[in-house]
Amino acid sequence: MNWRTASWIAAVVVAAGAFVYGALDEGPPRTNADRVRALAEDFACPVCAGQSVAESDVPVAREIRRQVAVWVDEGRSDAYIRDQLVAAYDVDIDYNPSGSGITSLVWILPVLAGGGIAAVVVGMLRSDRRPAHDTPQPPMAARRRRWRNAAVWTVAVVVVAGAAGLLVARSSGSRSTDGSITGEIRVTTRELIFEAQRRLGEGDMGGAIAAYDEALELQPSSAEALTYRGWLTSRRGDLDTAVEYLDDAIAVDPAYPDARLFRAIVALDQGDGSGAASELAVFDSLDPPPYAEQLLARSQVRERVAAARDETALRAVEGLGPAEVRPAFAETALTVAEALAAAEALATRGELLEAVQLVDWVLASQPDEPEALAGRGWLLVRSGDAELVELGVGYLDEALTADPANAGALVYRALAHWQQGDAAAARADLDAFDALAYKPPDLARLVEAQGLRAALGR
Amino acid sequence: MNSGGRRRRSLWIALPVAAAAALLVVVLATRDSAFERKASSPILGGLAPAVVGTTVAGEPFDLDDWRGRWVVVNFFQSTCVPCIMEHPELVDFDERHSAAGDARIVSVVFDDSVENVREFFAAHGGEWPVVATGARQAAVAYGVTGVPESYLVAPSGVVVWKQLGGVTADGIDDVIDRLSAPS
Repeated sequence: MNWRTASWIAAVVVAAGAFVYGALDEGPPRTNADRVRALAEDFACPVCAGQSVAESDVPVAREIRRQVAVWVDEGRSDAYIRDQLVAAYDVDIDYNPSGSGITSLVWILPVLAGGGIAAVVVGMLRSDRRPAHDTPQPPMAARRRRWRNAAVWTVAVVVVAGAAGLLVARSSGSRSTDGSITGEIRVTTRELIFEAQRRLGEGDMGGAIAAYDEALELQPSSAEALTYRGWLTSRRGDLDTAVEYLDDAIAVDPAYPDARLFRAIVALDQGDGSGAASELAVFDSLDPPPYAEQLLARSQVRERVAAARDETALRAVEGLGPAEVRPAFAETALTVAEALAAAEALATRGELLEAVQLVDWVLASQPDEPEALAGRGWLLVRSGDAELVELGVGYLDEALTADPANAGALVYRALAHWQQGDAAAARADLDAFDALAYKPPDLARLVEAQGLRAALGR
Repeated sequence: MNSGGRRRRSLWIALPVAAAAALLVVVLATRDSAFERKASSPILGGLAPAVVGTTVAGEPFDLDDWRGRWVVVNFFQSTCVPCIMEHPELVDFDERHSAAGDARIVSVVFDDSVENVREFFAAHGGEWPVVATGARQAAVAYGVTGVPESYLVAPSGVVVWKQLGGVTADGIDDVIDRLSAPS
């Protein structure tokens, strides 16, 4: 075997080995987030032209990305995920179609074409070289050609070896959760979240964000990491990005109370009172754990949501014009609840008389409306003035005549009787409230906040 | 090089190019059009993918529990205008079949919030289950590309029909009648 044949064989073996290795083992992606990104790039958005699932932001691409993240976090293989998506969306979704059936032509045709072209090129080279053997070569020219050939082969071997080295380096530089040669990922998502919480407790917001980012690299569908990453982002003032994180958290786990609470706070920060109220209602329906309630109390979200709702209602009332030219309540599109919320906003500002006048405007159209009667009574009772309290009890009596199960009137009258020193009457109203099938959470909280139950021994 | 050699070389180049082009034409000619592929679905003719989760009312739901009935699996979003337009038709279909119980509807929320969906049904009516938790898995399993999108599942549990866009009560009944008729 001469040196030329040997270098041919060496080059072919090295090149083939490197490319086979590179093709079969591109190296496991380092984290779950890497896998999600890589997979998302491998699938076409089903409704977009030329965009992958990773690139597109249409709803279906978002849903597929989220589902891929869930599958990856569940430990599903790439093949499983590919099968699931192809089974649902057909092979058109797959940018790397399988090598069987008609789709195998995608792979076979380029190889056929390449092989054909290579055969033609080799044939041309051989036919060009043939006349050269017939004429004697001058010794200097022969030497030059040998040197040139040697240089070409050296460069070729260096290039192939370099490419092989790069492929090997790229593969061995990656790690995965089950990687054994290069070691496992140093910590789990859980540990990273604990680390983030610890850093947060130390006031290291940057460190906490970095830890949450690392956790999300490992587990992109971690509702907890998404939620707190969003929350910290909001505290840095980037509300739009915070909303993206929090909405992703809610999409992953709609029943995670922390996400709902933080989403409500961010909505408030964005001036979206109704959105905040909506999130808070969901939060209340989730039976949140005590720490979440404490967080809620500390952040005064409930009060801020109520204030935002009341201010919105007041703006709607003021939009109808001054009180003297305002149309009758019945002729407006306002609800009784909105009118009472507007009155509450006035009362909060200390404009009690205007608040009462606003409720009277409602009662002028609907004199027997129990909510309005209860609202007027409560405005008078909370003044603390004995005469006004007495007057307020009269309105509450009327409200309960119209609707004996009116929860608000029962609680307000219980508080009024307690103020008046009539514990028995207060106890009776509180018992009637407790007997209701549905006790509005805000009224239940009012009872607790006023210490009524403890004061009455209930 | 003589002219015979050049002709042979040209032939060698032309042959693989012509073969590749011919194969490409065959592939393109034998494929469904883009529209046909979109209107079709690989799940048609197979067992219905699972729809398992919790409804907006907080009740557990499993499509398999409805085996033995015709089921319309309707993917929708409360803010999508075609969904709003098709909704009365679904209400009509539900009312036609609620007494007999031979056909039912399950709606699956697509990229929407539970609160929006509750408000939507309060405003537009409809008494059937609306799956919220587990909806994304179902949407991806059915290959949903947009809303509204509906699938008809036969009593055997096989997906027999797909509709891109809004449905009509008469349209669904026609499909059921056609597929129920003795062959």
